[in-house]
Amino acid sequence: MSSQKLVIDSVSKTFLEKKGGKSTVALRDFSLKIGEGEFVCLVGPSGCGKTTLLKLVAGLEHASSGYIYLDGKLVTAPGPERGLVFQDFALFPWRDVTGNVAFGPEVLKVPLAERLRITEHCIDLVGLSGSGHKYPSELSGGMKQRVAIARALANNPEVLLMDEPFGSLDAQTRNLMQKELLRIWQDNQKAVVFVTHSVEEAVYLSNRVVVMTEGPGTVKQIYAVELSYPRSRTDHGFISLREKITGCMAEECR
Amino acid sequence: MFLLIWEGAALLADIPQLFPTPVAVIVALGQLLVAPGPPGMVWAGELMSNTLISLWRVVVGFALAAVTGVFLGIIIGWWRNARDLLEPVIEILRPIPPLAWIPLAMLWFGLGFKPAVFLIWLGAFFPILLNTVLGMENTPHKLIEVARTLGAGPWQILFKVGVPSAAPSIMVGLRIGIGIGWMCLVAAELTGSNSGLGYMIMYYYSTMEASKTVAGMLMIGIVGYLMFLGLKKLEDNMLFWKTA
Amino acid sequence: MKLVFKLLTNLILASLLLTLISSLSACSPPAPSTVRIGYLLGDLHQLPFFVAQDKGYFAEEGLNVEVVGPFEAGPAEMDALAADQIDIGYVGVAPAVMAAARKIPLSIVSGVNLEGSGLVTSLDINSVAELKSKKIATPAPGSIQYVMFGMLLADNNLGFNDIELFPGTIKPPDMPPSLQTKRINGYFVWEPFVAKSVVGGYGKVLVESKEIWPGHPCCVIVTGGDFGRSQGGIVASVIRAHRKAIGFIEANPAEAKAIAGKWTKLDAAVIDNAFQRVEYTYSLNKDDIKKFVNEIISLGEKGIIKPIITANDVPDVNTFVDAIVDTK
Repeated sequence: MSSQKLVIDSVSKTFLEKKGGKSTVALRDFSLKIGEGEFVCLVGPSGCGKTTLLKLVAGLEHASSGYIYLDGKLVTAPGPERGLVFQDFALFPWRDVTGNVAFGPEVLKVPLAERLRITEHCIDLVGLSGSGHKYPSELSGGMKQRVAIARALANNPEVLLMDEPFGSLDAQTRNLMQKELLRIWQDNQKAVVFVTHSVEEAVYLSNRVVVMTEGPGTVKQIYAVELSYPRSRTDHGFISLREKITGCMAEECR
Repeated sequence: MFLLIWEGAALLADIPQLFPTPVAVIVALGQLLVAPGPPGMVWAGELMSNTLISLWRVVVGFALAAVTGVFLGIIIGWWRNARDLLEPVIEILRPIPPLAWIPLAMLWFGLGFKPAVFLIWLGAFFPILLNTVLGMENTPHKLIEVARTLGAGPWQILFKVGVPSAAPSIMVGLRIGIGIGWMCLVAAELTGSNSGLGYMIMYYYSTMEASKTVAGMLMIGIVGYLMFLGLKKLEDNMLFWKTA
Repeated sequence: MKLVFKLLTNLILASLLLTLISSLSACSPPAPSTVRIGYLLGDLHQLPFFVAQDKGYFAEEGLNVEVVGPFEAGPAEMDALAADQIDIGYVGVAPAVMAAARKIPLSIVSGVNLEGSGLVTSLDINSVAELKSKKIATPAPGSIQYVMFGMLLADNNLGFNDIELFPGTIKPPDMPPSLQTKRINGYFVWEPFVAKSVVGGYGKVLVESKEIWPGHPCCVIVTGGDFGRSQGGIVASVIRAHRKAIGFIEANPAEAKAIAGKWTKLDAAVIDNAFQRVEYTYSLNKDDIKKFVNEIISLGEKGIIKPIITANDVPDVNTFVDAIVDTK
């Protein structure tokens, strides 16, 4: 039995429109358990609430009902133990790479020497050694995303939350980043919750793929991915799983 | 080209007392440069000593405006309550032209240095304030969220995310502020000054020496331009991270 | 036959009508000519202008006067003259000669008054020597008061560099309040703003302008060069009305003071006090004006005041003054 790192228990979220008072139910009775070191992908059609779920786990939004537990503790607010990586990088443009990565330890008042060590380690980890002095405006998309990942990792989070992080990269860079991410994950063994549109990406990366229904979103089906790493996209097992999941998203789940 | 048009028009109009030729103005500039300054600043010459006096007033007025404007701007831009409270007061005061404040300034502050600094402060304050507010309000939400997930507390978010994000806007505000503050100079020195470039211009207006008046105006333009250049340089140095 | 009769009647009627109309227009008075006259703010010296206007003396001469102003000081009024915004101006003789020295064509055609200005100080000052480093206000540089203050200082071995002078920065009506609130230590200005501080009890007349130079010329009537040449008739009319007004002031001081109060917006006690220091006259003394110009030049050369008129501007004072003074 896997240890329960992250427990999402019957979570629902309703948004109230500011004008007009219309309400939208984004999530409905969503439940999921994620174990230590697991890589879980959330896939689903647009509007199914995957980003909302991620924000709830991050603590940036409050659930309308239901609970979220990390290591048995209730999640109520954002915190460094749940690192978040956005699709549009959200780097601080006025800080260089080192400054961005050091932000977390800095606000947590980690002493200087330790902070420098952590920062350097994380920059090396994402493969950006030597680029510490560069500014975001000088970086390519792929490099920016590496910085964002390094920044989230600098706080040594218990779980890494990623919201379509490679969505704005070109295909080549995307593939590269996927490989890099797997390398980093295998290195530090943290749990990852990864939101994506791409079924192929989900099958390539994760241990489990959670398919969500249309909004109001809930769990439609969960698929275990038992292929060994590194995976091949042309592998027979890969393709058939991909087709199964795609079919499930469309209508019937087998 | 412009000078030729000016020379031609001046000769045509033929009222040298009110409409001097460029040549006359250059001559006047020279005369003002070498004419003795007021007691205590005789060595600097009339033009430069008055320029320095005015410059000092603007520097002080601007510095006060920068401190008050940025401070208040951060507060109003960051906290909704502060904005709701202070915005009406500010919006009422803002449209009043500095010129209209002259009698009050003289009443409160007397003659000379203080009312002039007050008027310059008035001119520079509002653009600095408004641009700071704008900069703070436009802090990207994503960045605030990121900071929260990285464990930053509210004050840390204000100073490590809000203020740096607003910096470009604040610099624009400062640049506009000093421009307006310098433009208010003539109005400011109408508040009972007996020194400074603005005063000098009015003095030669009275003695009907138009070429000296225009020479003074030229000096105001030149110094204003130099200040603009200086601030632009500072801005470029501080905001180099913006260039892609 | 009837037609002819009708035609004849019409013709006779028409010619009758025509003669009637033409005779009517011959009887009506000629349309009044408009003349723009400028004056100084609240200046008791210019009472003849106020009287002439209020008592209708200008209208009696067939003049339609457009009152332009008030101007806060003489130099501003001379600017208006140069820019052809006024035809005739009641102004101090100092701004007038200064404008003439700047080659603005004008003629001085009549006197208005002598004396009538004064140095007012706070009550604790007892001599001119005590003015050193004090704050003194005057009207704009180039005004009579500015020059005469220079003369006063020269007589006491002082100059403008020894004083914290505020020329032209405070409007004359604001000078008494500024003295009262101790923003300034004194001011040199035209009546009735001298009297105002005295009557108010917070200022005293340290020196009257007539003590500096008894019988000194003060305000004059000035006309623009072109206007004086082409409209001599109008100028003569203005002067006639002006002389009538001076006569009226001498004969009816009480009513004259009332008119003064209305135009200067000051109360009767102040007007009363001020009245004694002003002497109205329409005569012009060329020698006095020449002396004035020489004073301005020499004060500037000695560095007592900042140079306003230099020997360069006016190489020969005699010919200069002769050219601009034109009394009929």
